[in-house]
Amino acid sequence: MRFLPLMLLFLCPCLQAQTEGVDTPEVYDHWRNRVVQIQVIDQQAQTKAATGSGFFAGRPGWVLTNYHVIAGLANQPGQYRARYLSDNGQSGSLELLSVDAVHDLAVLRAENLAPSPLYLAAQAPPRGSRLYSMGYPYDIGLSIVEGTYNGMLEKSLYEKLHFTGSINPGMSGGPTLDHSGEVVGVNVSTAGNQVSFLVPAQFAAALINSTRDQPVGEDELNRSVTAQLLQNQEEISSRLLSVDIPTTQLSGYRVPAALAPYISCWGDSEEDQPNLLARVYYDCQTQDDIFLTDTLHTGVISYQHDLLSTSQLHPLRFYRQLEEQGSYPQLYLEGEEKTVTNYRCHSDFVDHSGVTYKVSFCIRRYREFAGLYDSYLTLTSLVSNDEALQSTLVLGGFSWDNIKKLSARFIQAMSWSDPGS
Amino acid sequence: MTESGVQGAHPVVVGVIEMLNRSGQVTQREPWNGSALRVGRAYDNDIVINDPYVCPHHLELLTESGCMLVRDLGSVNGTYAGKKRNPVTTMALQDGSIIQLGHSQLRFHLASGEVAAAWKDPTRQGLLSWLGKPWILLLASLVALVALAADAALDNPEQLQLLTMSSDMLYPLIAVLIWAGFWALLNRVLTHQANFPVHLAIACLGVGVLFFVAQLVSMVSFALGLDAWLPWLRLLGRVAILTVVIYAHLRYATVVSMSHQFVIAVLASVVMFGTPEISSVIERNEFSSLPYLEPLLRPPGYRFARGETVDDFLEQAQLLREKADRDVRP
Repeated sequence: MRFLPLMLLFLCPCLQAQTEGVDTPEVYDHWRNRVVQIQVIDQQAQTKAATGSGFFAGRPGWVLTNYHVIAGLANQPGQYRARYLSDNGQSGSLELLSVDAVHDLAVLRAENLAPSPLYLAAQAPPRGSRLYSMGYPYDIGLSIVEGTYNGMLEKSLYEKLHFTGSINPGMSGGPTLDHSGEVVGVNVSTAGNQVSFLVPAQFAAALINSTRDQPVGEDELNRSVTAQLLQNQEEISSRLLSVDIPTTQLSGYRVPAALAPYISCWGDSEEDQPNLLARVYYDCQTQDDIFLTDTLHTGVISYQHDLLSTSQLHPLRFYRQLEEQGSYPQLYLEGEEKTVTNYRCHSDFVDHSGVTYKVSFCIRRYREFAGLYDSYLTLTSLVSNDEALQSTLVLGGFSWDNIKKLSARFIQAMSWSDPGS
Repeated sequence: MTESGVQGAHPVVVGVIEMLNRSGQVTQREPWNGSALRVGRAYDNDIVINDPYVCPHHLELLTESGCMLVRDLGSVNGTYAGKKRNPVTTMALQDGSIIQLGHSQLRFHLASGEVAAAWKDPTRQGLLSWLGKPWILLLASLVALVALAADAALDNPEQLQLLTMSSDMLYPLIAVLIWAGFWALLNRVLTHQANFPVHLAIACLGVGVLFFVAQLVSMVSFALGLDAWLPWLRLLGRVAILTVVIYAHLRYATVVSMSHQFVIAVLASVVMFGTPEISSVIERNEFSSLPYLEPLLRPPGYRFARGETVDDFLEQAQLLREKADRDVRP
């Protein structure tokens, strides 16, 4: 059976043990045997290189966790293997069945351990509900953390739940349960100070529903992740390209503002003393990204506008400062040689809406995920001797067509009118 | 030396025998009137050579039937003609003939033989002779100071102050003095004259011209949108200027032919600017997670090239994609 119609089964609350009114010790005791530690073992060192948490869900023996927990196994299966360690000391090997890189989820199959799976909640609980997050923080054993549900993150490109509780390193991939023991979300990240984030259960259910009960090969896994990333960037691009780009005013320039609710913009201005420059910053970026490897995070959009002006510098000195600033990339995407190529750059004058820009455009390609690129676009307006706009757009993990379309829209959204006229 | 070949009280010199060291430089010169002349290590020779591989009586020079000859006197290590080291017992001498004996060399020149034209002394005539004039040094120093001050001012976004400007200019000025000092020392060693003011003037002019030409090249590249060519234009300009500078130094400091001086100057400047450029190219090709950006920006009024449309610009960037795709292939 390739695709089991399991969605309804997982989401059906009627089958769930009703434990309303339970306290935390009861939740812990009741569900502790469904949560395991996941260890990624280096084959040569024969010890753990990374640990996380996971829980039994879907079919008997299936373990759900975060993709980033088992990324080493997914990317370098020759170097790593995975195993589980249960709270009662039982251990065994794990095989990778499927991943959802966009939502940071993975399904594995445990050897010789198959407690009854946890149920995935069909809908989010009311805001303010008490939730219980379980996992193995810092490799010190199974823990349970109480907290409250604070709704869906509104400013997130990738849907996440806001859990007010302390999720710590090592708890990634563990379940966060409601009072009835249904999994509301999968622990994924924290911003510290009890601000933590969960992958909504609906994505876990969708992944389980599409998973086959057989280990996934390296090539198949690569094709699957590549397809997920391509589809994800296509959806993001389509949404962005289907609406007019909102703009904001910086002196005489109109520049792209927050393109979507999930893009957060910050700004400030300063007299750059003792330099004879005044600056106005306007920085926007998506709040989260897609983890692929430790040094390759993708699916990001960042841009920045930097308006510089001077009343005292000679034009040659002023533009020398712009040249200096432009030499150092203002926005940064990580990467290493085994995951991405070097940037290839091209620069020229571009005329748009009566303004000439000096534009530099660079792209690099992902080595393992065909069809995906990172781009770096930076432009400097050539309008005035004492004021210039330097804008930069960075797109991480987009197709060439979408990079072209988004970059064109970004430049075309810019305009200038003489503030004095 | 025998008395044969003597005409009246003053013997007629038919040629000159030059003794050469291993690097071919003349260490001793003896006029020869054509009468028999004996060469060897013994003190009773006409020419005594202090070389343990030369016999006490090694060879003799003589004239027979109007022919000037060299004849080996049965030496242990032999006598050889020319640079090819052909062994000879007797050989006719011509203008410029080289005779090798032991580890020593003799060269014969006819008294009537032609000598090369005198080299022009750059310190006495031509453009380079102006470098010796005090006002040129003053002017060159001024040019260098203006160039260094302009460079410091361009890089400095702060209010210009004499103290900070001076500190910015201090290291380049020290470098100029060290450079001029090096050439003066070389000059002193090779020609017994330091010519420090001349070398300082050359160094100062070099610094000034390097700066102004670099500015000009950047300006033209920006104006015409030749960003891709800029590194090569800049390198070409630097190598050309440094070649002229080193050539000028060599004209004063060394006594070799102009062509040799020029070749040395080209090689030195290519090594001095080419090596860092090659390192820079290698460095650029090494992996970096950051894009290598070198924006060329000047005030709007300096631009002459027309801008592309947004779509045309991005269409041209298609080439980048193809390059990036090629980078992935093994």
